[in-house]
Amino acid sequence: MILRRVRVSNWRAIDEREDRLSEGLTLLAGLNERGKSSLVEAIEWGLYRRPKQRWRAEDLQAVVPVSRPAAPPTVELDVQVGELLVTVTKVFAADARQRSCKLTIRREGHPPETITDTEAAQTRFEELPGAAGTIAPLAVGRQGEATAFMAEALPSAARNALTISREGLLLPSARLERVRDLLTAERNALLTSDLRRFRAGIEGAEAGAAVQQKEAELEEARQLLTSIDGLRRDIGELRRRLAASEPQEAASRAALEAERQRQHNQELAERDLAAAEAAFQEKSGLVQRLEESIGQIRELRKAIADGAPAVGRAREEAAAAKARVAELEVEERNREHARQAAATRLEDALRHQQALHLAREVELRSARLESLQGARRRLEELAGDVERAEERAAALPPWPTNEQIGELRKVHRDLEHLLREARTKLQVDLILDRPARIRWSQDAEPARIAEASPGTPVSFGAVQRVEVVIEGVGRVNVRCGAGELAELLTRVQGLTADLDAALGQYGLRTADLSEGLRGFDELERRRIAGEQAQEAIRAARRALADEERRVGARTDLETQSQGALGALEQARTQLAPLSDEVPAGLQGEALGVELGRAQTAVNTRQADFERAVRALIETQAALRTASEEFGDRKGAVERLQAEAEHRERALAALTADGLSDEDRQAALREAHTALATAEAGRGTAQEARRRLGEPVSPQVLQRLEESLRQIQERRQADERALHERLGEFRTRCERDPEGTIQRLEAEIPPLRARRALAERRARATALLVALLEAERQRVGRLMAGPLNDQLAPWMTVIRGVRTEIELDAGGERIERVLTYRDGGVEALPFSSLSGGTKEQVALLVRLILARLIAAQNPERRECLILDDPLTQSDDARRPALYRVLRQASEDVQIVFVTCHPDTGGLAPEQVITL
Amino acid sequence: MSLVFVHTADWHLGRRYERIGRNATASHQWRFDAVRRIYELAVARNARFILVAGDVLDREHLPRAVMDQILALLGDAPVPLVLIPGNHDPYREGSAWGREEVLLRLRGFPQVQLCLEVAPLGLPDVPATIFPCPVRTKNTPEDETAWIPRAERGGDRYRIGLAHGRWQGYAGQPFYENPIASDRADRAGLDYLALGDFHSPTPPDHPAAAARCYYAGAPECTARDETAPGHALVVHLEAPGAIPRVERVFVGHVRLRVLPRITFSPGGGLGPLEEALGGIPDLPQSLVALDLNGALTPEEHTALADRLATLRDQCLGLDLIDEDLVEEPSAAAFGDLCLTGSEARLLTLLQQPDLAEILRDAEHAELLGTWGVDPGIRREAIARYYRVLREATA
Repeated sequence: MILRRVRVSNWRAIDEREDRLSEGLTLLAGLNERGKSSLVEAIEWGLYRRPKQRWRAEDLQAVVPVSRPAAPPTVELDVQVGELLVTVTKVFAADARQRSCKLTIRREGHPPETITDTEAAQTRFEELPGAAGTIAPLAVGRQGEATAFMAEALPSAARNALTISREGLLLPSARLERVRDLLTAERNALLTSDLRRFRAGIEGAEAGAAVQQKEAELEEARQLLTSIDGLRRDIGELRRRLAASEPQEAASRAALEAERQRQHNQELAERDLAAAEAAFQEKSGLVQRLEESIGQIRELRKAIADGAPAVGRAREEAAAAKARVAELEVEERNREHARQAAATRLEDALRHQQALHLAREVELRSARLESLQGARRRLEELAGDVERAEERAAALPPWPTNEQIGELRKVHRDLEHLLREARTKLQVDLILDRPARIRWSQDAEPARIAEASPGTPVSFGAVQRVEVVIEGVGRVNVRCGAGELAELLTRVQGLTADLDAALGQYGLRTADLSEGLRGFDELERRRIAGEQAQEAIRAARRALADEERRVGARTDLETQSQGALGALEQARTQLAPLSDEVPAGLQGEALGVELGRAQTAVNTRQADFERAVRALIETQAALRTASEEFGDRKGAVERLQAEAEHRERALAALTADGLSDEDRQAALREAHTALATAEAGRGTAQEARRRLGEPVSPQVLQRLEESLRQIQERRQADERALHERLGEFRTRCERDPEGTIQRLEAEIPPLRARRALAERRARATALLVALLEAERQRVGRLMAGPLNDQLAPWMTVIRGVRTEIELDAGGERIERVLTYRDGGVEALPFSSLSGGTKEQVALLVRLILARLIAAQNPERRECLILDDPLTQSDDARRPALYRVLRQASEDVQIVFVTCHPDTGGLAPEQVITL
Repeated sequence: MSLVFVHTADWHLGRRYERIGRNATASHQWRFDAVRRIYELAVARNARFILVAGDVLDREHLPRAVMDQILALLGDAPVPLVLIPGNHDPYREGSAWGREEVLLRLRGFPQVQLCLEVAPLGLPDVPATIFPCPVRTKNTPEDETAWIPRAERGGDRYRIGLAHGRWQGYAGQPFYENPIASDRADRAGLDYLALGDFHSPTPPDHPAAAARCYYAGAPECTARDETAPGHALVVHLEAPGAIPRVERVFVGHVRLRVLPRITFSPGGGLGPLEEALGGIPDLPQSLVALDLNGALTPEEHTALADRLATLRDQCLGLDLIDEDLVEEPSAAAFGDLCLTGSEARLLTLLQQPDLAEILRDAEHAELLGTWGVDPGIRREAIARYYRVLREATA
């Protein structure tokens, strides 16, 4: 599309004007407020149905000239579209707030086609390929605003035109951007940023919540229904159990009652039996008593008759036993005499033996005493040895200790070392650089002279004082001089004084020390002699101690001697009354032999005595036995006599009633008759009791009662449970779970469908947004290459350095501008560029896009209106920018609008001055 | 002496037709009204009694207020009313018919004979013996009619069976729950076996009818799969052993109109729906069951929503199935929007089978890829895209 002619009337400050435009570059120049932007605005209105989103009727009202409010703003454009020349005439009737559009299309060789219907004309114009309209390939750049491209002919990569804002944004078409806004808003309302936490917006959430609630209600109703079925089963079961337990209860109760009745009958039979038994026992007792009394009388009479001979025999036996006792008493006395005689003999033998023992004891005690006295003498001798050794040690001269000797040795060594050092320090070396003669002296010796050669050291040992005489001039190196010598002597003297002081400390004179030092071995020998003396003392003491250990300490020895003496005296005292028993002169071994014989005699006497004792004991035992037998016989006689008397008394008692034996027999027969009657009665009662069976056990009764009680408790519990369940059953049934289920089963599916639809919509929206973003990124990426291909050389022309742009990862924003300088790359964010550079980049991008459009349709030109796009660019860059515009105008029709006076280098084909 | 009586069943009192939304509340009353029309029918035809073959109640447990309403309805029966429990209201522990207060109330209605036991029943001045077969459990493999003693037809009394269950072979297949022997009427010498359970009345040419076994159907529709609900049967017996003459009489309030499935195509408009609706002669008395599928453009979809809203006001209820109906903008609709560049490419992408490659760099690409292969989501995305484009264009 090429804009050939523009005629504008009644548009803001423009009364009326008509301008022709060049196919290449047209300069629209003029100072401020001359109507340049108004003219651009009019062209835009003429081309587009809605050139701006907010350009409504009230916006158009502003273009009506203030001075001529009735004058209709009119725009007429001649547009070349291929072979067609289209004249668009648009008029805004301000009073009617209506726009009108007329279209005239001319083609060579054809009559002009005129469309006066506004809508049809506008539509027809939009349908012309490359003509103005919502998709017109025209770009209008406004100063200070975003620059819009509405591109139709861009290649697929840039099919939708882009907007490059001053912030570097590349935006898709307005409609797609609007779509994006709507979808993004919808997505944000429906979904979270994290799609994994999916939700389907308010409607989905509401439907979901409703479904959840109703499903919960449905589940609750189903559970209620299930519980009703369960209750029904429970009730049926309870009823069955109650029905089944009813006969059980009756049977249990009957069994208990029967057992109780049997127990009662048994009690009655027991009572009857007891009465019969008592009668029987009574009769039986009477018979027994009668029989017993008759029998006893008979027995007593017989015993009385038999008892008299027995008493006589017993008395005879008692007399025989008594005689035996007397015999044994005589024998016992004889045995006692024999025992006493044996005892006397034994005592004599023992006394003789004791006397011999005591004599032997006296001998032993005497020997012990003598031994102790000998030991005491030996100890005294050893103590004397110790005293003598100590005296000998004390007589030795005092000797130094090891420590003292060690100190003396150390002082000696130090002194020797110092003396050696003093002699060494006196070494003198001289190195001369020329021949010299040296004279020196030591102590009182005469001075000596030495010849020294150059470079050869001359040594002087043991020098005390040096005097050097150098003939001529030379360098002298002296290692040791008089000062050092004096210092050494001073130290030697100090040490000597210290040594003297140390010797004095031990009370020895310096001379003795010198002597000691010289005869150090002698001193050592003295020390050894002292130590030997000490060792002798220690040996004597050890011997004394050993002896003391052996015989005891001297005090103990004294104690033992005193004890031995006491024991000796005691033995002698004991021996004194028995001295007659010991033959005179009997001692030692003879005493031992005699003591053996006495022991033998004692043993013999002891045996005799024991035999006598045993015989006595035997006799005494026989005597005791005989005495006991006599007692028994005597007791038997007494007992028999008492029994006879007892029988007599019993017989008297039994016959005291005065009955005769015949009377007693008659009474016994009568009692037997009564007993037979009672026995028959008892048999009858026993049979009656037997027929009633085993006694009723309390445990059985208790068990029956317990069984009945359990059955009754179970039935009561079942009845209570049945009552409760019936109540619960009716309560639950009243809630009508089946009706609720029917209702919910009908309500839930539509809600589920609503929820599914909402979720589907949410997912669809998310999918759309994601696809849109992917497409935007793809377009951005495709745009970056061609843009940079052309942008780099132009920016190099303008800025003087190679420049590229870098889009962000989404391809929708110029993120950085790369400047290649000094072999490196300087990357700056687009936003940090200067305002001039930003508008230059934006202008160049627009030019490039326009050329890209043009390149797709070589037979057509595209129109680019640039409304003062370089307001912030400096004068230095303008020439380069003009060259770029000039170059771009070879491919694209450019209308360059500026208020800048200097347009040198632009070289427009057409200039319009306002 | 001829005998005329009314045979009905499956009243399902207490039930609502929940699928019709806001009209469901009104549907509760429809059934009560239908029963009263049966009463009127019985009076009009001089019926000696009314047999109700089970499922008088919709369920075992009904709210007390509803039960009171039902008992009042039963008490208003103008002729002897013989009822048996069905599988929806079986006579068992805790069920409505087992409740003492209910039985007490019913004892106050001498004309109401609730048969809870299997025993022949005679009605005063009626030369007929009724053999009721009450149902005692929801499902049983036993034939509840088995107790009816064998006999020959043609005695001095009519022999009429009353049962609730499934007549063997009724729909061409055997039944294993609540079965009723197909030759029961012959074996028991029944002049008529009044059946309940199926909600559609037995056609006259059905084998069951030939065997003197009839289902009366429900007196009011309960679901869209019923055929000709809303009827009661008037049974004419000229003499014991004679072939019964059965007359089907409409007693319902609602005409169930189940329309054939309508399949839309995008851009094809709502013509098929209007055409189908046009065939309904009594729309205000109809409950319309629609099954819609296919695809509509967004505009058509909106129009359909408006039309259905109108239809709900025009009829007694709308039972709608439209889960398979989708929104799909036509190619022409997109063409009107003059898509360019990325706009057109986006549409192309949405029509591709696999979007994983396109979305590989997107956040949550895997999840989006999963959604992208879902045809429903894809279709919805296209529809959303169309709507948003239109909004952006406006």
